[in-house]
Amino acid sequence: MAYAYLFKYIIIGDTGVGKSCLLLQFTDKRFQPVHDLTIGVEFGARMITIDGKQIKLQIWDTAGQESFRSITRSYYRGAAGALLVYDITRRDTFNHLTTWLEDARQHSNSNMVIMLIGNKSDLESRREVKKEEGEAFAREHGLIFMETSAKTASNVEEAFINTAKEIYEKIQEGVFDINNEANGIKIGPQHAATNSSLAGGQGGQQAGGGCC
Amino acid sequence: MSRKQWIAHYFNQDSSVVNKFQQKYWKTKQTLIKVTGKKEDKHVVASDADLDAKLEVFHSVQRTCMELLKVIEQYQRRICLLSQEENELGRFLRSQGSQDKSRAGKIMQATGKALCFSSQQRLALRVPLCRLYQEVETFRYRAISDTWLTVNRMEQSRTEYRGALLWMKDVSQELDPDTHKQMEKFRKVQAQVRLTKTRFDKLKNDVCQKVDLLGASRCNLLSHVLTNYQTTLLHFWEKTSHTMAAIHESFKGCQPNDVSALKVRKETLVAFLYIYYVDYNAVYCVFLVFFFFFLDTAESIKDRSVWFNLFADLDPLTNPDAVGRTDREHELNTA
Repeated sequence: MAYAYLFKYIIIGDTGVGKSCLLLQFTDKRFQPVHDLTIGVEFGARMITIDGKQIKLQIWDTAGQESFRSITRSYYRGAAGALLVYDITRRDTFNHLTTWLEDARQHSNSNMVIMLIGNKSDLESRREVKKEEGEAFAREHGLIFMETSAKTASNVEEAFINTAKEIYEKIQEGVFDINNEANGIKIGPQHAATNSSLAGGQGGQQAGGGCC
Repeated sequence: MSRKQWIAHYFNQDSSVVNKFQQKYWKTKQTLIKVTGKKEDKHVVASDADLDAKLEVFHSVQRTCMELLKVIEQYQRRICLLSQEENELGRFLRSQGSQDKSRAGKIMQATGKALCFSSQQRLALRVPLCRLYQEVETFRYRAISDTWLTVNRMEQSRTEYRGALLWMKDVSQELDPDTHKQMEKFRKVQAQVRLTKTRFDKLKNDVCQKVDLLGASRCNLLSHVLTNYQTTLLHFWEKTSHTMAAIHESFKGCQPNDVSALKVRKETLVAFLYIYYVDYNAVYCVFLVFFFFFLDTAESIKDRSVWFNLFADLDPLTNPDAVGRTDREHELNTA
């Protein structure tokens, strides 16, 4: 399918926080209460529209189990956005965020947009992590924050799309060099010609040019 | 193709030569890493921490059971030896006592009799000890060896799983979900990881459960059999101490003035010290207390110095058999 841009996303976080369910909800709009353990990585893709542009999200849903940690590290490379997920009903998944963040910062490019997600917001009665705590953590580390529920689909669309918007803005600002694939952004086939003709110009104007 | 179809597809291909070869390659690589003691992926190692802790417990059960068997064997041997010596000493005292018409002779005879009795009673300890030995031996042959087999199978599957993880790490270096060829390869490896992981997780669970069960059943076994041993031991102590106390009671207030009696007492004490040295059983404290009572009544200081010299001879580092025997033989010769 034709797209203007392709963004590579990774979903990271402890095992059982609902990474695969978030992806399934976003791509298939369904919820599976029992999900197979992810082995290494699974993939998902969906087209979204931002600013009238077709953007393909290529989502890498990584395994959360510790034995896969060294393997999943190689998936960080070249990601434009990351969804860092914890489970609001399990305090330990929140406590491990620092480690995940360090890992993400160390193995990806510095401009990667990170969205912090407190999943399972439908389980209010079993909540162990307050929303304010998630917000505070996000503020402290410069992340975007949202509480979602893969079960009720609450905020799931928003989480993926807001991350894409943030990346898109960064492209507009010229923070991302879209011609460098290591940044996790690919220019779609339909725009490749226009963009390559502008390749010599400033990155900031490129996206704008494509839009008009 | 859906993921499930992919898996089914690759399970069918499992027998393909290339696939088999690749599996072997990564398994061998993992085996090499393990054998050469190269540093393994710390996350993979950490994820097996609970299993490795259980394995530690298993090895300790294995080791301590082996040690217990050795100790029981030694203990049995010593009981026999001790009983023999005790019996000999008893007979010796009785024969010496029969020649001595004084009160000391009577004491010696009575003590000799008590010692012979004790030597017989002591052997009763062997029954519960034999039982303990058999039970531990059976436990080793059945429960431990069964767990050991499961542990071995688990280690095999762990190597396969870790090998598959190495393979996955390798294909993950360059992965693009939009490239069919790379994905094909990745799915193949993923199926392999999933397969080996399922096997490993199952065996991991088996091992953990078996080790827990092993520990619990050993506790159960020991508490059962040792109760028996303890009862027998207490029974033996009760009987012998009762006999000794009776002798002590009947000869209360006896004033040993006879030189020959003193001489014999000296010999007996040497022999007792020897026994005390061979055996670590508390029951001998009773004997010693009994004889120190005699020692206290001895008037001559010169006599006491004989005892002190004897104590000085009993160096804990020297062979107790040598110390006791030479001394006793020497005393016997000079008697």
